[in-house]
Amino acid sequence: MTSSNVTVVFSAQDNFTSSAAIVVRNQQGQAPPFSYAGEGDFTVTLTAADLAGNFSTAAAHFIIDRTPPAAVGDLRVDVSTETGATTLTWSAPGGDPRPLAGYELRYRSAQDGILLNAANWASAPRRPTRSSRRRPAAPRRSR
Amino acid sequence: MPPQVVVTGVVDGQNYRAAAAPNVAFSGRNIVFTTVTLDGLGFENGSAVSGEGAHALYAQARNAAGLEAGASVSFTIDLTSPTLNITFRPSCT
Repeated sequence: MTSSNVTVVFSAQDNFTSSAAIVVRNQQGQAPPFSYAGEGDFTVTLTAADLAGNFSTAAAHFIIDRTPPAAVGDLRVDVSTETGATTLTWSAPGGDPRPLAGYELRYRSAQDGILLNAANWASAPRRPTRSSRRRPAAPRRSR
Repeated sequence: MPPQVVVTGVVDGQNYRAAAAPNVAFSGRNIVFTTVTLDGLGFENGSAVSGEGAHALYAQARNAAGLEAGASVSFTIDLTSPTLNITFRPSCT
């Protein structure tokens, strides 16, 4: 799975036809290059034919996904009065047909005086969360 | 006028994915000698050639006046499909 455009590359060899003379086409009969930019689930099948008319086929499957998951909308912060531990809880956002790869937690210290937002997200420190990578789709809890 | 030699069944430079059956026709007056070879060996006219690889057919005729004509055809029997490997890679958006 990727969020980038995809190029399907191939190599073809034959015992009596040079690689340059082997004719390679996709299932629509198009010649290379084989580039895909649209979002979706792709299975690309190529056929290679030698000068005698012998042919072989091979396929590649990939997914182009440019749609971000929905934002977490119910982040809750609980601070234990006994231990001082902070617990974050949220629900897995829906709406994305693809499984989530994980969550990324970032924070800003109140001493900074800057609220964490989309503009400063990239520069904010990360909170390591091994557990969020293992079980990304379930509601999260981090201490 | 020299004899005429015409080869059918195979085309010079052509690749075939099955056995081919070259046939040589000789025409002209007073032909006294003909020969057909495949890869340098005697060839029975019209028989199938199934061995995979490059082949060279040669035919020659000579008439009583000593005039000669010849024809040569090279062709390939290719019974093997090409190998094809494909993969995909992200490219710039």
